[in-house]
Amino acid sequence: MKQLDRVRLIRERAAYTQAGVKAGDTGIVMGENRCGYCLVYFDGEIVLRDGIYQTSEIDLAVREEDLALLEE
Amino acid sequence: MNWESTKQYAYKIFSRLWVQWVHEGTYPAETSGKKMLNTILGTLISSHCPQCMNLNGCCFVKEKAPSPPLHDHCHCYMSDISGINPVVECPTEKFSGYIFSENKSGGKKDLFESWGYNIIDSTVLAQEFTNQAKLAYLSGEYYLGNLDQFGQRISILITLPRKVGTGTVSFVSGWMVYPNGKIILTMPYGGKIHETA
Ligand SMILES: [Zn+2]
Repeated sequence: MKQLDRVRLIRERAAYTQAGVKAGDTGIVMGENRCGYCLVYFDGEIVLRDGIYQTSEIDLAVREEDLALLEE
Repeated sequence: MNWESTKQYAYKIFSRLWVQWVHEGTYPAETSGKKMLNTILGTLISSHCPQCMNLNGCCFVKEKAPSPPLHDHCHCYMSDISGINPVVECPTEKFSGYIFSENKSGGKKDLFESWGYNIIDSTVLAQEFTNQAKLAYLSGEYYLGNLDQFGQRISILITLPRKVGTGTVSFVSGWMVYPNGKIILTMPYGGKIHETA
């Protein structure tokens, strides 16, 4: 996986569950590959709260073998 | 920036107390390569966890810092430092290849375009993010984000003038903390404000 690849989580682990993501969730690689881990931002919603645009995306280090590349 | 906010930033810059994470026995990882080496060492040597090794040398204001110990037998500690000289990296591709991509950023392209920004503004946006993030980090105006095998993320509020309509728009951006005052943009717009304001 490389920067800006769209990916799907294909395996569940305790750390992922604790962070709030599950198998089937999709996201985008936003951090360089490091020792088999990718930094993935899992898809969320755009939220405007207190006048500040935020999102419900979850950023998480994910093992590369737990990700499938999505066709673009 | 007006005179009042200039005064406020100056006050914060001079009043913040800074600390640096120390993981004895390993050297700070200033580059991605060294950070990868630390991650490998942390995986191979069970007494050194990747989080602690990647935090080594990273700088935070005292009240917005991760707290050692992170695990059993963690021998990390925080060392007081006089301040930082921030170094900010903001890749233009995070705008041209992500925010303004047709199919990668969800509704963010439409949002930025509704504010009057387009793909041709990518370089200008990268420079503006760099300037705002440098001032925000230097004055401790950030939110502590997630910490994992990649290290510590922080969130910084970015404010842009609307090019369509009047006024400004503010949103959350995500950054990775590296040793000795360096941060690199991970996400131009995304994530939420954590509780460390
Ligand atoms: Zn430690």
